[in-house]
Amino acid sequence: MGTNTSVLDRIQWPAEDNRVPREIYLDEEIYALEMERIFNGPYWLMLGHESELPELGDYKRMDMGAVPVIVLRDMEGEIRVLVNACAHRGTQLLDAEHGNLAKTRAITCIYHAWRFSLSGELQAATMPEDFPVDFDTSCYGLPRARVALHGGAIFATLSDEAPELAHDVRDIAGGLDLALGDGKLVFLGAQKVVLEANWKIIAENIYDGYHVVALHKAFRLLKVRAAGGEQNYGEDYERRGHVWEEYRTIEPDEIPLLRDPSLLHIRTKEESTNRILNIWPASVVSDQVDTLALRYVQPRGPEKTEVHYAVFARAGESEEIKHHRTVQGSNLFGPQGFISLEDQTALARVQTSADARGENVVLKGTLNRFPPYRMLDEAGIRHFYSAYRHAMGMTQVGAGAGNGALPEVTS
Amino acid sequence: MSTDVRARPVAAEVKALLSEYARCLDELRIADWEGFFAEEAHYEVSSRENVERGLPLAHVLDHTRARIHDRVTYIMQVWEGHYNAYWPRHILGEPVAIGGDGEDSHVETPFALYITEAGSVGSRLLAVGRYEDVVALEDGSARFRRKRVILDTTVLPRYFVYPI
Repeated sequence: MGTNTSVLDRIQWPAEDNRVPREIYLDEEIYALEMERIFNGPYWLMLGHESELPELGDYKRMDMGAVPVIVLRDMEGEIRVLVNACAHRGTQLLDAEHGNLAKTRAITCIYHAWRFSLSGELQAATMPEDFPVDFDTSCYGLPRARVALHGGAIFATLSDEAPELAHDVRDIAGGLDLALGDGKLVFLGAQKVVLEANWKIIAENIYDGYHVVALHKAFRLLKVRAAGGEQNYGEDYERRGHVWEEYRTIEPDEIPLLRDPSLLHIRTKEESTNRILNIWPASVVSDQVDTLALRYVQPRGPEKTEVHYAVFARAGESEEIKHHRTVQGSNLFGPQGFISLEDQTALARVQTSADARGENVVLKGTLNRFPPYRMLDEAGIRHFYSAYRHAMGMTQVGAGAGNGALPEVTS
Repeated sequence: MSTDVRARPVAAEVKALLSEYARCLDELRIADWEGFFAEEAHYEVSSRENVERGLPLAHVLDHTRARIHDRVTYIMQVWEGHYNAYWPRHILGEPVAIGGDGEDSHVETPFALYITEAGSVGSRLLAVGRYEDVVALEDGSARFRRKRVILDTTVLPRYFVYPI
């Protein structure tokens, strides 16, 4: 911890809460501390949706910060998240991206053939004859993350200190429920891509409604500015920086730009309501136009982030609607999509010029000190960073000296 | 040996179509790209992972000629100045005829796509994969009726802009 914590003294976080020092997008030590205190800290990470693992024994491989895990449905149907390293010598247990273990009903390490049940218990160590006399298989299970589901979305944390998920997300649960419904979804696939930006730049983008019509032609066509919307934050927004944006779109009568304007059509909703949520730190639930998607965010160093865009239909929808959702999930909100491609460019450019040092500034909507904000504001980025400083144990320069720093929130 | 004795030679027109297609993209003649497709056409870029699992989501899914046309509009109008440009270089392997239904040729071709980004040191590999093409031969000219690009690359190292 010694070298890790010294970096906190090095970062000069401005007293003004709308300024963000660019070093935090580049610094290796900050990154390592984030993996420990945020991605392995008392917060929940979204790793998948139940519908991706429909059969007993289905699994997929993910990372929680630097820790490799297996997300699986065990033989009792329970969703488990197990550390993907043998309890013996740390060998990676499963190397495929996804698969099914129902046939063997076990995870067997290739190195010394230790065998674990799908709920993580060590079933047998081979040839234990000359082991220490007190060797006890029950002490050698795979470490398990705590797992909780919301609307079928799989959340996990490696921390015992995280509050219950239901408590953690209580203030944005309305948005999650509107997006995920009864949780009965059909997995349509995922696009996997590296975004060449720090994970925080990617997360900030969700709090930033300012760019939505400034950057995106499609959102201008859908008249987001005129239709309006708002950003909701939980009561404890300075500590648990989740955001839930709820906004409307107006489908234009015609879109002369496109020969096939169905790309922007809304066919699954009575009213053109849209929502996007960032679940602190960086998990995204998106129910925009007809694209229902979860984004799983896995940092790959300070300047790169692997993002999986998992796209879903609702159970019982017609093949035609599934196809419509598939096309939109591919061509509108996928990484190569009409809208999302532009985000990736902007985010990569913020990263590229973080080398310029100095500070990024948050302005739009900051006349309001506290939420709620309008859809097109970016003021909530301040609260993302308030939660961030709290998680990291960072303080602002001269905080508490009556210089505009936010007061400590008592929880 | 697993050589399929029924394998047929790939028509010279089909080979020419493939190399002209790659050359068009490598020269960034985006407006010319849609001309490689038949009147009724399907273009798709998918990951091998989704294809093998039978999942329909794609990176790009232009299942009509209208959408293929619209992709040119995104690139040339909507995204103009909004993407980090690169020069693509498609390296195609030998096409193999994998069947056909009389009128159309079914051809599979492996490829590697390297990109060179402005201001970057060196060039890099964006993706490798294969084309699964259905080529229509009409009036002596070859056009894609269906072009399915299946990427072996599971996680793309960055987004792509231009068709592959």
